[in-house]
Amino acid sequence: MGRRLAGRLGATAVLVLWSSAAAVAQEGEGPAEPQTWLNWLSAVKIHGHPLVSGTAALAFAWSLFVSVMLLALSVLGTRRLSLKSRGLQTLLEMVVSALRSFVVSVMGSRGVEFVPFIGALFIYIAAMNLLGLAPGFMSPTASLSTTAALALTVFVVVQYYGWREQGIGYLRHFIEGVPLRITYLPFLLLVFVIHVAGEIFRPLTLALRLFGNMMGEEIVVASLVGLSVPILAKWWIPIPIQLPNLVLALITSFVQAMIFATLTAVYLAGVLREPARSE
Amino acid sequence: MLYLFGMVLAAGFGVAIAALAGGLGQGRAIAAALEATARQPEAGGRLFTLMLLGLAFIESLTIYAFLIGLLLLFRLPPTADVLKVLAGK
Repeated sequence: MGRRLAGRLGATAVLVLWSSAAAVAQEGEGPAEPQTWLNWLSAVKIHGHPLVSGTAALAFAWSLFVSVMLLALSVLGTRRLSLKSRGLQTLLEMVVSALRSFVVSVMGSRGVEFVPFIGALFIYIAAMNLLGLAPGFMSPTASLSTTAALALTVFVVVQYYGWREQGIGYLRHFIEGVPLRITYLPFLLLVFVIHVAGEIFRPLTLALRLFGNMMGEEIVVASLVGLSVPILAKWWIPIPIQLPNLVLALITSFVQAMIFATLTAVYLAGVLREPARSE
Repeated sequence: MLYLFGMVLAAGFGVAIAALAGGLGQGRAIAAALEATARQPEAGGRLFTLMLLGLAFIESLTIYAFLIGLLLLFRLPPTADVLKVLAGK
């Protein structure tokens, strides 16, 4: 009992010290580059250029890691598909059916064709968010590049489906509420501009919301770890003050992924033809 | 020096005001959700989900201000340098 406890205390101490190496940032130079298991990629050179240079490229490498892991998970789970599912297949089926009912509840009956897209968004973002909680790993969503890429994808998909569904009538969305007469031209132009600005604002908020939440959580954890390092250095007691925040981060990772998926579903439901709306 | 002074004050007060406003907004959201749940306990699950959704939206506004504060803070020079400049004056 005593040896296990000592072993765990020692492990905590090592983790606290090591993660604080990233927390004790240089003053006035911005957040330090995260110390992760994939940092060695910045030493690998192809034709003289490093494979990974900077935090954004590191985030991209980690997002590739998440994709490969999810792919492996799905391949493992669907190797021997059977009507009487067992093991991993049951888990995957539960997840898929939960996502399906969620998407259909937001989007109506048309939602079924969008379940793969929105479901994949949810699982991918949740996995990326959760990854940062493990020491040595980094949330790719803690980098604005990743979240901006996701938001851009959603934007393109929404616009594409809008044009495909309604053709030129899609433009009618932009001048909602104003009668289509030549005397109302200034109002039409104004509403058009405001609506376009709103359309551009949506992916921006999607990206910033996800990035802000993940980056903020990382910075809070780093600050708390930095606070506990002097105590560790002086009295050799590792106090994990960041533990409540890590537990909260478990919740907010899923919540943020759900927010992203819900908003995507709402935007898509908005551009599909009216009968598809359920809310 | 006024520039740095302004940056520090803006970072500090900006996040504080955003937190204040966010707290008020979230308080109203939770109050409404609790009241509705008390009226109809059967709808509790769905209301909880909607409440969480609404809370995350309100929180994201506070986080935008937090990001600006971070941006400002990370552009500040090290304290030692500032003290040196002040002493040099």
